[in-house]
Amino acid sequence: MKKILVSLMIAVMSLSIMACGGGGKPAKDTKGAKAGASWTPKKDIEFVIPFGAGGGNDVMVRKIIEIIKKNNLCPVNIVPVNKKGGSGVVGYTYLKSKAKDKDYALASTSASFYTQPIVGNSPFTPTEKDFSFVAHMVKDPVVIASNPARGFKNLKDVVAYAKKNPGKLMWGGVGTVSDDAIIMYMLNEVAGINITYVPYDDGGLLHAAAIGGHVDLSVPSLAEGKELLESGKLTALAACSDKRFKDLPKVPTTVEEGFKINHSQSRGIIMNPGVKPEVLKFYSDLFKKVAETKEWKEFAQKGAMEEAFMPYDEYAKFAKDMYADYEKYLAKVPKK
Amino acid sequence: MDLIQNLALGFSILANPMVIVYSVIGVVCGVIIGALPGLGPSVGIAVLLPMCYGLAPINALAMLCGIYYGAMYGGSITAILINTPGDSAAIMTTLDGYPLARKGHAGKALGMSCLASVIGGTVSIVMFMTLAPIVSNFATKFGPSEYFALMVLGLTSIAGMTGKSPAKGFLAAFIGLFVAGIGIDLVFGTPKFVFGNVNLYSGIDFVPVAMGLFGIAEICCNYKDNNLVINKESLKLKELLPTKEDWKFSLPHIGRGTLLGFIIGMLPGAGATIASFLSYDMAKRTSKRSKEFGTGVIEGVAAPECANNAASMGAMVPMLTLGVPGSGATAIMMGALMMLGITPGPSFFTKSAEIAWGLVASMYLGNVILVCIGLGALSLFVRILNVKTTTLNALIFAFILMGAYALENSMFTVGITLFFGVIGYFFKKLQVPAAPMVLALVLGAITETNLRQAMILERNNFLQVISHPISAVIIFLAILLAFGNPIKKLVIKCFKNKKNNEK
Repeated sequence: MKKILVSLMIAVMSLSIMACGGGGKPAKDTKGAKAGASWTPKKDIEFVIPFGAGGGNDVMVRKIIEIIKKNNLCPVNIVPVNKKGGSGVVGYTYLKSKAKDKDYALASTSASFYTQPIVGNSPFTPTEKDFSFVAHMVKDPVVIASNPARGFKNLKDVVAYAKKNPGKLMWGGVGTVSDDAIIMYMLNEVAGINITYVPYDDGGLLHAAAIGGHVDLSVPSLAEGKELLESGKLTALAACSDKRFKDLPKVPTTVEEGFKINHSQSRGIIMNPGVKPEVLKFYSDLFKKVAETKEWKEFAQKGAMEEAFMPYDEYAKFAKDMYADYEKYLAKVPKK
Repeated sequence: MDLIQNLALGFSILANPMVIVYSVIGVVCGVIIGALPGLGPSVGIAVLLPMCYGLAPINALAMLCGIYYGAMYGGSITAILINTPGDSAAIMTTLDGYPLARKGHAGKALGMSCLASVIGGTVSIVMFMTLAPIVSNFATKFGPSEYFALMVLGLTSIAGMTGKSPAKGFLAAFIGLFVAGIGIDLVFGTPKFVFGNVNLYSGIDFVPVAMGLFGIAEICCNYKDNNLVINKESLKLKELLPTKEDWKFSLPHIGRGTLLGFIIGMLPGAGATIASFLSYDMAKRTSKRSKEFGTGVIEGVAAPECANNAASMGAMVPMLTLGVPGSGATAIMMGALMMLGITPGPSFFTKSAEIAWGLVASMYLGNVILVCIGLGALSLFVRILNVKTTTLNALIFAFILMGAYALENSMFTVGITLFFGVIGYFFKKLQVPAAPMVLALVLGAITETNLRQAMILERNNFLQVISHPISAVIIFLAILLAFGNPIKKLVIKCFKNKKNNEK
């Protein structure tokens, strides 16, 4: 009896150790890899995901790694590591702890990369002083939607109502300093109105509240809201992006409606500061190749993400503008 | 009937024997992962998701459903045998399951847990099939005011867990409420009791707390060898199953628990954990053996177990009909479904009818296989108690620390588990019950969030918050449950006095 139990325990433990993932493996020569860059990695690369498994960032990074593996784009392994907490600050802190090995550590970014430092919850800033920018991959645009019972047909209706009833309209979003909030503040400023923000910490609950009419407006991403918009449970008012969404051709963009707001969450890749240009170029080219594959384009299309690849120099400039934008609008968040 | 036709369609898709194989794999893996402390259905699905990549959708679905149900049952195995709940939904199972095991009835507790889970799961699938389109809107009727009211109701169930000393129970509950408040404020972004530590920004998750409070404390206090001698006779399957008398006591609770669990599971903000709390409380209030709850009564195991499985099914309602995940595990499941090319949402049952009904059929299958494996492996599980306590404790400790690290890939979580392990040790020595603390921690965070949101929505008018129709009814119910007894006694006293005066 004891033997059976012991062997069962050993089996379970070895399974769990195997599941914890293999460690680094030595670099192997791959046929497809271009020898163009003057720097090539000699050992495994760590890709930090500062968010939980299953989230938007996590899915994107794992897709990137999958595409790289399938197409043999990199001679070494890239290992994803989830380090969530503090809205990304824990992950970025972990990245910085790998400064000695800075050529082999990457991290992915999203809105919180810019917002957390502004609200004082992060010891570093999203600038070249603290990070190197590698590549910008996609933008996650949203649709401004309302509950059908409200009777709004487009943004102009909303603005008209808001002008007559300041503070009464309720806009639900995830988090207090997220893109959901910033788009509202931008609209408030551009249209001269006052909509009240209701923060949620759970996207699922927010959608249920939006459908149930507990909040009047919300900004689901296309992936999140497609079904609801198509079935009529939510009315799409405007698309907050450059062009109309392919899946919602009848919905005008915010700019078309006359409101100059075009902000979406951007997802990019960063590294520790002070990485040499050859290394940056290697990674930038690598991710460019990923962005050009058919699988990536399918993935972006399925997730309703806007492909917006930017190599490292362009991304650095883009990030600077983003940061300035966030700073400007987050100053409006009420603080006690 | 349309329904039977659709179900037949679903089962026909399952006709392939490979599906059964995958379902079995799913259930077994789910049970093991569920049993490991700290790892629940969400982790199970996330970990085993890569295995589904290359499979045909229906095989993958069968496996995922198997994992889901297996994990819900797995959590209760360790809860009953070693007082360490494998996941939060199993915490209530420890209250009566562990005393039963100590009395030598581990098999009965495990058997009832398995059967109650399966009954709860199967009945809720039927409810899902028949009611889903009608109640899909139910989830959307609940806004912050309604959730706040529901949480208040949930908090009243703490009174049922205080055991001998209500004061100590409330002490634990208030400590739990305090811990729930740690983190960055949702509305203003102000850090509360974070002490500048980045890891505390998102607050303290209740899973490491539960593992420390229950698991580590139990190990620290239980290092002497058990005097339980399990002889071969008592390991026959017949002896291990619940008796007719047990069923007589438990069936009504299973019925009520399933209904309650399903309804609560449908609400995105509440899940299997809250369902099991409320079901246990309801069983305690309505049972004839109410005073014996906590010492090892079989319905104290049946009620939470059927409720948490019913809640898992209930959580599928908003997920499949609205595309809104009802709980953490369904969120991951939704991700898995989307990866398989299935987009849950209002048109799920019409656009992808085959997959939809195949999914429903594979849930039935999962439950059936759970019964077979659960009961078949009963004697195996019970023999775990035969292992020398010192060895068992060492293993459990290792698993707890592993589970704590696996939660967030961070030693900080391990630190939290150990910290609360120390607190749990003192709780045990001082005879302070640990369950109220975890309950208050789980509910407290949700209560605060929803109250703040409701206040914003109602422009800081609290009276408006509680006058929403659903909120008002629930709060009235909570007041009734909390003050019912004293009010009843007062009314009886008044009548008696009147009668005496009239004489």
